[in-house]
Amino acid sequence: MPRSVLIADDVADIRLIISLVLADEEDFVVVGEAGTGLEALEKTRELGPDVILLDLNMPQRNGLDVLPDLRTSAPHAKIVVFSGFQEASLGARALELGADDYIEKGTSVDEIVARIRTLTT
Amino acid sequence: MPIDPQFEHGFIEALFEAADIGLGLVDTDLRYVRVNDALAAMNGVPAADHEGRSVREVIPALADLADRVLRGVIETNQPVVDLELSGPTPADPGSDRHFLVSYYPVCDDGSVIGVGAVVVDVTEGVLARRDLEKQAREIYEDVVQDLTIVQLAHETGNVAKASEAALRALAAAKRIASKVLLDGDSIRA
Repeated sequence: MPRSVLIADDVADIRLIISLVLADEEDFVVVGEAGTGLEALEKTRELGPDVILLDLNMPQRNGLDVLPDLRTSAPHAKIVVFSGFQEASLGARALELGADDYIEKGTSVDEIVARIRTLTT
Repeated sequence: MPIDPQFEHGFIEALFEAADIGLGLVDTDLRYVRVNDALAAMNGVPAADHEGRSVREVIPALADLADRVLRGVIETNQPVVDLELSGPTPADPGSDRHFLVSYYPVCDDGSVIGVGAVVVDVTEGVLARRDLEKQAREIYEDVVQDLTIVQLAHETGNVAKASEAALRALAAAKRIASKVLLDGDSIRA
């Protein structure tokens, strides 16, 4: 059964491209998108995704701010933080707040998919 | 050739009064002996009203650090150069001003009898640099996002998206480069 994925990023083109990439993978299905931290939380509560791909730099509650609530709302989901801020401390902080992995933007699509797959198997 | 003391005194007086940087002298009790009009204006207190008053009385918001450094200069007989002091003064109590301050020991017969201060108001430059850094940060974030789109779109064969994002990233890079060149400033990484 494919893993359901919620993509939370304020940049529509990034959501679109990742959706297209995951659409080609039989073991994933994108069930929703969110452009703000607040929307990510609402969609998580509504859809109960298996995977949440979460950007840190979002309006209306940034990724680090909304992470603990996402973790509480979806205790079994795998939360993968996907961020452009190239600071190791943010990755460490995200993991402390409940993320399962931290991927820097610039990572290849193949590796993004591979790391999500590793987390969900 | 020895300089005529009267000429030397007149020269120093003229320099002290005419300089548009702040000049001042405090004694070993950290009380002002004399300041020039430029320093008086920076502090927001008439020059004559400095005399006999402590640094802490005149510029209380800056005194914690200033006093500590002044005492160090007196104790060690060593100057401190280009110290950054920031905070409100009576001249501008509602906002922070930024000063570059150098303190030099003043000696008589080998003993420190006071400290001379050279003060430059660098507020405009500091605020301009901060504004430029803020703008650069915002543009940097946009560039990071667009480069991510370029990378993802390129890897997935979406040439149109990759090109659009590349053009936006280049335009943003050009904006910030123009700001740096036109403002004649540099942006710290």
